[in-house]
Amino acid sequence: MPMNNHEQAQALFVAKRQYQELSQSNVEPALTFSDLYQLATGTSAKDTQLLMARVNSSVTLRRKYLNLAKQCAYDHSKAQVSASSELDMPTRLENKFRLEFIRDDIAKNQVYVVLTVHFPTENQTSSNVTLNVESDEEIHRIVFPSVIDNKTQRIFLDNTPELMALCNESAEIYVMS
Amino acid sequence: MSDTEDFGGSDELKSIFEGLKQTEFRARQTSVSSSYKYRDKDIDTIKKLIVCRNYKDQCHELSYLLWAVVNSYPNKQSKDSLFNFFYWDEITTEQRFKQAFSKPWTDNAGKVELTEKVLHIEVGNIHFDISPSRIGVLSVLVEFIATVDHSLLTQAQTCLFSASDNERKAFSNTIQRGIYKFIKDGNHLPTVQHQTRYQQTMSWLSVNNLSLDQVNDGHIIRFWQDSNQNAAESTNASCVKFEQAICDVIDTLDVNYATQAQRQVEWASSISTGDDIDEIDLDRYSSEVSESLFDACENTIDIDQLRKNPKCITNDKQATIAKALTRFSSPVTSRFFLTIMRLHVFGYWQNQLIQQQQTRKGQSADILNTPPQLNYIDYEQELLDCSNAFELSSKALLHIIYQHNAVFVLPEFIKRLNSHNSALKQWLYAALDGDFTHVKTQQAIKEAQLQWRDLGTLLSDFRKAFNNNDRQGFKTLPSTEFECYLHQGAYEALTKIMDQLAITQKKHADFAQKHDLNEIFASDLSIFTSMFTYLYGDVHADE
Repeated sequence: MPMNNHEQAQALFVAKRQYQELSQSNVEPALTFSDLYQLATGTSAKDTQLLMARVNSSVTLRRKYLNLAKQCAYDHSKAQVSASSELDMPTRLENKFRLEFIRDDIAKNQVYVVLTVHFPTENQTSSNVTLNVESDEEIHRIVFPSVIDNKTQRIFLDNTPELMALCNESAEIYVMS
Repeated sequence: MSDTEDFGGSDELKSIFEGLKQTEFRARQTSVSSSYKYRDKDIDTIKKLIVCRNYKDQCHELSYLLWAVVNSYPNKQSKDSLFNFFYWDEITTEQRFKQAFSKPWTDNAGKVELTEKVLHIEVGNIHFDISPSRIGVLSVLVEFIATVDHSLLTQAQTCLFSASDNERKAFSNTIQRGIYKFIKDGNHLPTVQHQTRYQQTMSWLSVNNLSLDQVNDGHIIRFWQDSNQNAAESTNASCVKFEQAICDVIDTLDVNYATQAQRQVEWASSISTGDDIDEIDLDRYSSEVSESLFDACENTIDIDQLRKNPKCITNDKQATIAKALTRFSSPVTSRFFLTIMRLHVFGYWQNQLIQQQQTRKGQSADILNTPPQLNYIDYEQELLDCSNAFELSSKALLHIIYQHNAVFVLPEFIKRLNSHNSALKQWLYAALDGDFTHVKTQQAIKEAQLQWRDLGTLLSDFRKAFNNNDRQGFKTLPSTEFECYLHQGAYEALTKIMDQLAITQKKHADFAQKHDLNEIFASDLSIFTSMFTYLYGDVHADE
């Protein structure tokens, strides 16, 4: 729409003021899409615990984060539980990965979680494997060491929230590429 | 609507821009330490586009880049080429951009090819070129869009795959609408309060029959006094700080000068084009003249960052001066030197009073009875201290930058060399034109030092400044060129402040020669004391 000189000067005055306002760094920085992407794929150089707490505290961020995890996932397990054999805990079996839980014979309160990735990506063999687990309205981000011979494992104490999330039958698990 | 909602940019928008600044590259196996992904300059460009609501051209350009990425960029890490390009491979620099498109691509849908200077894109039979230097700004725009509404990226992936130019165009409009909707729906850029300030200032100028060129330091004080008088008479206005009054006047003058300049440009071009000179839209206007307006008066130098890493500015006084210099660096301000000095001395006093009033009611009289810590002669000394401290920081920065980017330092040698050594200067100019790499430049300088001692003296001067500086960011030399970017940014910002400081010092010296500073200070003290007593003194009297 055409503007006259006065309107234009006023519009510019407003733009200039808004620009100055926006340049003040007295606010908490928002999590950008890069931040979420790096978190989800396990490549963030920032304090991930702190960032995950922020993601979990906001419904919008949690939704964004899960969408992203879904999009970048190597494989996704929708609450499927196959019957456990001799183990006291269920095993998750998917097309591209498998999660097993093995209780330590001696230290009974420790559980080994063994992740088998059938066709690991370069990142999974060279860096790490990140799992995003959505369990009871909360996202747990669990990082496993890099895959060797298609397998990687981590030890958890009983009752830790991460282990409970992994064992939760209704949890959705995204293994990141 | 509350006051806070109707002022400046929303906290959410502010926080997005702050988030963009703090965004880092993803952690890689090869380099442990990460660094900022986007340059401040590019973020500021996007910020300008957003406040001017003028992002059409950039969306247009971006849609071509996205088209090229979606169609020609291999998707290694994830299914999505866009994620690969912007988030996994993180193509945000010119160098990476060139690598990314090094292999030409052709298909029925079009063609993507990197020529010597540009990325040449053909969508159907429509040709478009993007310069690799644009990747900085465009990647910030992508991050902004993705942060605001990340479904746009997913849409881009599907809409632009094998898309015709019409489909590409439609998507460009979708991005534009997405940004517009975000700003409008969230009321992220409220305008009313700023408009009021502008209108009040304009009407004061007209009531007092003042033209733009007539306004002087004395008028600014009167404007401040009158604004407070008006605020006292109105029920819902709060008192106006001296600093705010200055900003109102200077910003008003700035934008009016800019529109005048624009009008002249339009008038000149209208002779040939026959345009109606009254029809100037902000879009066209912003891209032409406002660029210089913003550049001249922008507050983009992040003083807080310069106090953190690398820590170039060390104490509060330095920060205050630096802030004032960058805040008021528009060409108009040069005639308000006295006002800026007043702000430094009495603005600080006013802040103390306000603070006192908020925390310990009734104590303002104590401050009112004690004159400000500084007078106008002390101010000169402070400017000098600052200038010396900044010079040392900048030398130390140059030492650091020289280790990874000697080409960057070449012009600095020329600037800092004594004027009589013209042979060396000519050699340096030739080296600059030679378009050398970092290693080659360093080698050439090493050899040149044998011939010209001045060069060696300069370099050892830089080293000395670095060795004597153990503040944050100066303790160790960065190990990669990447980490060095931070220091380059800081150097550029610091140089801007130092240039401004030099101008101010010169003005101060000229002014002090012609006037008795003590006399002016005494008279100002009485003006400000009476005004502050009027504004803050009553609280004490009531108790």
